[in-house]
Amino acid sequence: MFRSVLRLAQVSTRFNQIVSAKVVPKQAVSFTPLSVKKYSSSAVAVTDEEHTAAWISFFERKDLDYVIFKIGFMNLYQEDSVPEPAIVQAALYACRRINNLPLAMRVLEMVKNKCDDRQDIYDYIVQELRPSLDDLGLKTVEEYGLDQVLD
Amino acid sequence: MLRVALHRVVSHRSVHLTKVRPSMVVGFGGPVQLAENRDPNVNPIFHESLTNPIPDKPRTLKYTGDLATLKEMEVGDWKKLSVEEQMDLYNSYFGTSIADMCRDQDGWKSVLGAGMIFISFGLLLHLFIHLYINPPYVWTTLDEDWVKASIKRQIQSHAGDITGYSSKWDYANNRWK
Repeated sequence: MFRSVLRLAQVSTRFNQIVSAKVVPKQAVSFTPLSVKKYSSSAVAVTDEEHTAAWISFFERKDLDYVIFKIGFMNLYQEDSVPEPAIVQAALYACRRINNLPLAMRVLEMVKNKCDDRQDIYDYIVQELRPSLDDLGLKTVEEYGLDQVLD
Repeated sequence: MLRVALHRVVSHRSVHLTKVRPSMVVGFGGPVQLAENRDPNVNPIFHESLTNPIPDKPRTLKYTGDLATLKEMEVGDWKKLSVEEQMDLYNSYFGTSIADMCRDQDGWKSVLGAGMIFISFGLLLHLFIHLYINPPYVWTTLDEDWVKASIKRQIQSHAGDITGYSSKWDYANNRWK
């Protein structure tokens, strides 16, 4: 965990080098860990609730922008589990905050891709996400037609 | 009809597409833009794949015309955008859908079949030349004179003097034992 924090400290200074000073404050931005999984067995075990809460708090950051969202969501996507509906909901509202509709659609596509052939998991996620989809004005991947491939 | 996914060109896409969008996999990694035809509004280094599903920059950098109004509506309430308009925004932002990236491809079957055809043509040519053009193979080492000369050489060099030809040759009297 500390290794990842060190790596993120390097990443944050690199970001400051790239982005102009007008946009980013002069001192290094403090990053919370962008990947929440703990791999070492000797470390304190992370419960599912803590894991979910950590990811939700990541997507509810005040300074979230496209780049941070991309890194975080890719870490979430690369985890060996389908994200909880609450985390996906937080990600969709994060897309809403950065005013990026195609990104929200891509998030839904990736969640469906993560479910692979487990239709029951995907149905459960869609069922849990239905209120937030209606609230945001989004539709599911099937209703968009993004799951079909024309020749 | 086998589908070759790599080089399919999509026709000119109007602004308002149908609900089900056609795939847009063109070339390797994106539509090829020659220097003289380069559209400055389109990102020339756009790349998306299963390993990079969220690109760093959208496919369209600058929105013009109807898409510009859609982009302004994107800041507002998404419920006001119809499904077609949302799909237009999606198509302007990305190049292809994830289902497109995941589908099975048949191109390798065409390539394998064509390769097999060419190889079999070459092999048939070899067979024809062997049967009808080349003279039959002659094993000179099986001629009677050759065999006799080789036995004589073995006897002269005392090769096989325990169990071979030399053991059966009577060297004193210059004849077989």
